[in-house]
Amino acid sequence: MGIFGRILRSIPGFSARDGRFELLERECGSLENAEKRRSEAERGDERAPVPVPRSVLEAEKLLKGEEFFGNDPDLITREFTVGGRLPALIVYMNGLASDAKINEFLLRPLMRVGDRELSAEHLIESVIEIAEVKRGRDMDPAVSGVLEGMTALFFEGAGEYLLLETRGAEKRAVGSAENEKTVRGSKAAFTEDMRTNITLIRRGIKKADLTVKLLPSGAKDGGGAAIVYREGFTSKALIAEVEKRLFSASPRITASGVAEQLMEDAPLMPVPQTLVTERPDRVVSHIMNGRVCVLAEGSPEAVVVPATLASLMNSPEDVYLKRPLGTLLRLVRYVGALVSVVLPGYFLALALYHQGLMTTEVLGTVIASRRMVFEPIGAEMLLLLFIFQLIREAGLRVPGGIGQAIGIIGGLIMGQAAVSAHLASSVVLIVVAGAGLGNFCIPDHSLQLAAAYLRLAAVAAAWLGGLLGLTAVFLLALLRLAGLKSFGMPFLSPLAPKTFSDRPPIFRGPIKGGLPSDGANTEKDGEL
Amino acid sequence: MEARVKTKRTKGISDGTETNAGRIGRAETLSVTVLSLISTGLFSAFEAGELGTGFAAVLTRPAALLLSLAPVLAAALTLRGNGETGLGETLRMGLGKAAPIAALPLAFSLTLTAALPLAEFTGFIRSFMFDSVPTLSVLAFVIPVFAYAALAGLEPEGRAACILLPLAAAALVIAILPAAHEFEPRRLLPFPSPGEAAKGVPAGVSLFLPVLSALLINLGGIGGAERAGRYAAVSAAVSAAVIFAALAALGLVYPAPVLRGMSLPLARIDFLSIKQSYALRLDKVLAMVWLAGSMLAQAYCVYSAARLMASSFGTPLYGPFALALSIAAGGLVLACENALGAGRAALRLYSRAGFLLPIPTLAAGALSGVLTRRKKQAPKRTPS
Amino acid sequence: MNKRRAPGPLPRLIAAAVCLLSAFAAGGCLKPVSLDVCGYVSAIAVDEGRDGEYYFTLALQRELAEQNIESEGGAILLADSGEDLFEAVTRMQGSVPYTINFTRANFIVVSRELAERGLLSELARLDHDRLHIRTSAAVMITQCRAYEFLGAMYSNNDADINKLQSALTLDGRRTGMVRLMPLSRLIEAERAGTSDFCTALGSRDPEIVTDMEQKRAEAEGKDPAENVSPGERVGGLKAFMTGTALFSGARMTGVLSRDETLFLNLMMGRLESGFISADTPKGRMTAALTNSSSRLAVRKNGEGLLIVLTVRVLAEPLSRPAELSRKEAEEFLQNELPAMLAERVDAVFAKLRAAGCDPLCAAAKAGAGGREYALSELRVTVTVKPAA
Repeated sequence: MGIFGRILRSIPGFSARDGRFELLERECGSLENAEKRRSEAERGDERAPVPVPRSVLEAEKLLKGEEFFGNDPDLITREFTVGGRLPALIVYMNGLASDAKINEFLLRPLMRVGDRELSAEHLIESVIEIAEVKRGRDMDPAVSGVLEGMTALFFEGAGEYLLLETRGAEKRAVGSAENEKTVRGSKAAFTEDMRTNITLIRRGIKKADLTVKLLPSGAKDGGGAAIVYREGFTSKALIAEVEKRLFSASPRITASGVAEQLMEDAPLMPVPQTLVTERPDRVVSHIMNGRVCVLAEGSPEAVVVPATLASLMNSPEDVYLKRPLGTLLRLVRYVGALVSVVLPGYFLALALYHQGLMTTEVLGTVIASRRMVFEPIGAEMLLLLFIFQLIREAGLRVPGGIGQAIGIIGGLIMGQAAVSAHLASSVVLIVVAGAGLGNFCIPDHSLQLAAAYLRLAAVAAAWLGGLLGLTAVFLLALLRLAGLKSFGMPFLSPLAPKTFSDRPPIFRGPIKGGLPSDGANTEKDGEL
Repeated sequence: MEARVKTKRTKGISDGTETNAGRIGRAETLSVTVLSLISTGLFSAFEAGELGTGFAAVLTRPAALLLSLAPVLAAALTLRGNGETGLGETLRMGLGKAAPIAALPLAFSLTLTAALPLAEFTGFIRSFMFDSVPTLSVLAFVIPVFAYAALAGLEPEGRAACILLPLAAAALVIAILPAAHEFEPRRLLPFPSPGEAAKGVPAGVSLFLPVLSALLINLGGIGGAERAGRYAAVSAAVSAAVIFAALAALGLVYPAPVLRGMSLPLARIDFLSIKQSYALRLDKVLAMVWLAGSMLAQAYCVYSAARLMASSFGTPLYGPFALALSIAAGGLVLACENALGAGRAALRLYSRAGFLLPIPTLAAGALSGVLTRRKKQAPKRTPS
Repeated sequence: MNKRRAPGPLPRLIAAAVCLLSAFAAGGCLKPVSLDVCGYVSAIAVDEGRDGEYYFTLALQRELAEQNIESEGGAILLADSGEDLFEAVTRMQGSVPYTINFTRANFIVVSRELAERGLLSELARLDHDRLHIRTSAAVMITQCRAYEFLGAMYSNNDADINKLQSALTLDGRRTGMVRLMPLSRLIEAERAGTSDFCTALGSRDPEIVTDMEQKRAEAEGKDPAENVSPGERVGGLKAFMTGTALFSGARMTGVLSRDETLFLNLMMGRLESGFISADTPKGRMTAALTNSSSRLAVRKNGEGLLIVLTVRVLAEPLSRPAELSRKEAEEFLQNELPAMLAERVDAVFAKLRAAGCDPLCAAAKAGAGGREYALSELRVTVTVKPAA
């Protein structure tokens, strides 16, 4: 702490903890309520349990009935006898369960068993060569398990089933991040399989307090989600609030985007209030700092809450570089973002109202470049911004090399053609291109789009009111951002409010000896 | 709304009863108060007594600011025992239905104080930045944003002030530093005598007393009367130093007779330098940074006035008051700028006697505070 | 029973957006003018016109793209008469296809005859905000007609006349022989009355062979120095600075030469760089003078004032006779030069006093007026230190 800080803290009453920020102001959920909501959801829909029939034929008939799978062609049922004596039935989904596991570790040992005793306990202990086995007497969990790729095993006369871990669906291998590329650091990215994603997180956090809580999915609804956090470290109020917002969700969470929109404090606000990432290393870093991660089955992204502007602007690569370099990169990023939002509007304000601010050389160049351009400069600016967005979207949607070519063709040739056809001037083209490049410095895709919105508003305001209009728009935006919260955490922290272990978001903190941010109001101190 | 009392916060399990809605911390409170004081002190037009003999404002304004502390600290002392109950709520508890009448003078003062710097900026903008546009055109951009800021509440205002204050300070340094080589002490001559200087002090107190009083209105949001007293002292000291330094720099560049006819002289402080590089032509950009800070700061004043009136009426809904007072502030700016004789005469009267306006409200609040101190009534929290 | 739901955020947002747009629309236009439809005035010249009017000449920056033709000048000159600048501009505006824009006006040139009549007080009282003339614009006086000076200044086909103007001011600072003052100083002198204005004085020589004329002659196969008399300046501009115009109040009352201007800057502590030649026992030497500072103390002395001026300056020998060693030169500078400088400063002060021009604000410091200043005495002490 600097000398000024020391002087200030020596004034009586200005203790180090004075004015410390507290998370979750209005939204904090009571723990009792969260517990209640969780247990309600775990009970599933309000329906009476369906007991397992004693007869395997009846069980098969029940499963193939309208209440459960109906005529689903992917449902495989196989009757056999255990040790040649006890009728049994296995039920699994084609494509979700592994045939090899079923044949090798289930059917073969059961069919060939020569033991006298054929009780469920004996079979589990001595015959079935599968690690995870659950028992149950209610049909609904059995159906949920089959839908996840497990195999349900019914015995004649038992009145219960065994649910065996035979998942083997085809899934994408862990690849590299496509949208969050870095030069240094991990290249691994999440996949569509939630279990794989959980494993990737566990590999990064080898702590016993890492907790994964699965949110229930309906029997037929599919989907499924999980929240990941550190028990005893992450703020209980935060966990309760996340659960509250997700449990009350209807429909069930089927994708990370759904979870994101359900959880946001201000869904109509263009600025994202959650951090969506495809990188496990980023998620690990945030969980270690007391945040909560939400995963959804079928989505190769994780949603991290709470999110702040600083967390959205940070790149995972920063930590891999030395402090001065990491700081410099962040500075470039923030300057790029600022240029992206401010430059077009500022240029327009100067061109229409405050020409005296430009140097004579720039004035002369702009005037010369605008010779023969028939549109007003404001319309020209908007047209070029629109074309830039078109090229950007086209480049994103078109696959592979063609997409890159479109970016180059669109940028160079169209730009040149527009200037030659006097549709645009070269100076305005450069301004728009500079703003576009600055936009790409923003690591978060949603934030990039939000910045594009703000840029548009700035251009409109500058057209109407010059620097005055620009000031009005930016002050409005600042006030809105200052009032925005993500799960009770102010969006502009640690800048405003200043949190305890603050460091301006531009300066990268030390690896050793630094304090974690207290913005997430964790249960314990001093964790990194 | 269920009443919630702030308990001492310890690390551990949240029981869900504590809440920080509508509360700001130390940095935010100091930022918004300092921003308000500095923008009022530097950007309100100079009154005749401040420019009569030499540039007396260099001394009178900082002195007036420090002098304004006394009634505020005294009132804070009396409000200490009531937890975090603000001035409006205290008036309501003590005076009942008569509270709005007691609150009105301070609310009016705050609105007028908010309008003064805006009037100065508006004059500068319409003549210097644009081609003599109507005042209404300028206000069409200023008032909606100003009203939004006033409606937004204490939290966004405080946090936005945390960000704008360093920017405004940097703009001040960028404006003043290049002019340093043109400083000439002879421009401060003639030094006003103590008697002459004292003539400018009431005008200064009229400006600063309402702004400092806003801390007492927002006690619930800043953590109580004890903290309010400390914040008032620190922000007054810092602001007085900055105002003194900036006005001294201005006085070293322009003598008082030249300042008399000038709107927003700080934006023109670099005009003595013939060599005009791009950096020296940033006067309009810097003025806009100051305008943003000033709009926010004056919105805080209007918000405080709205909170005061709303609480004195016993309602948490300050929104309609904030909107009405924002429009009223806009009307005051229009009146000043259109050079209506009545408008200017009223301003002159305010600068001479306006420091008396907040006194009845503060006195009534202090009295109510003493009377209600021992009451067991749970204070109603009115979140923003 | 139907429960009324509170309106969601979207209707409120739409309502807010409509209110905002209405406010902007109702406020009216802020009069945007695109930069390509403006003509940017770089300099303004004021002369005496007919029938009591003034003759205003504006130098507008030509587009940089047009600087490939061999015509003289990087500026377009517009001129018309009027009772004041507003009227003249209104007349000119009607005949040009662009909006005349003063935001880049950096020079205001006034003819000597108008300066001697006291025009500068009118200039100081103009509403500069209305015209968007920055008060940092330099004001100078010309011996010739102001519009001739303007034409002479832009006679070299320079692409960027603002750069040319900057070059002139920089040169002034380098030689110390030019004292260019901004309009704000004039306003200060007019309104505060505590100091007198003095600014650069210029003139024009139509016989000077400019760079452009030399190029043209070479292109035609002629000798560029064909018509040049021995000792005449060749090259550069037809316009040049001749010294400083002195004012008493709003009227021009005296003139200093270029050499005397150097000592004026020295007196005022504003000499950043300059050169001086001095006769030593072993020959003539030239020294560079830099970074002067001065301190002034004034007190009443009978009916007049006693002005005590202490000047400090750094000096470095630039050229010296072969017989004079560097050490001797430096010793000369420290020991002998101060007296020479003091003598010259005294002479300049005498001229200032005679013209009634008090740029040092001596009278104001002593609480006195022009009468006491006219009877004032100067005691100057100069200290020269080596630059290295």
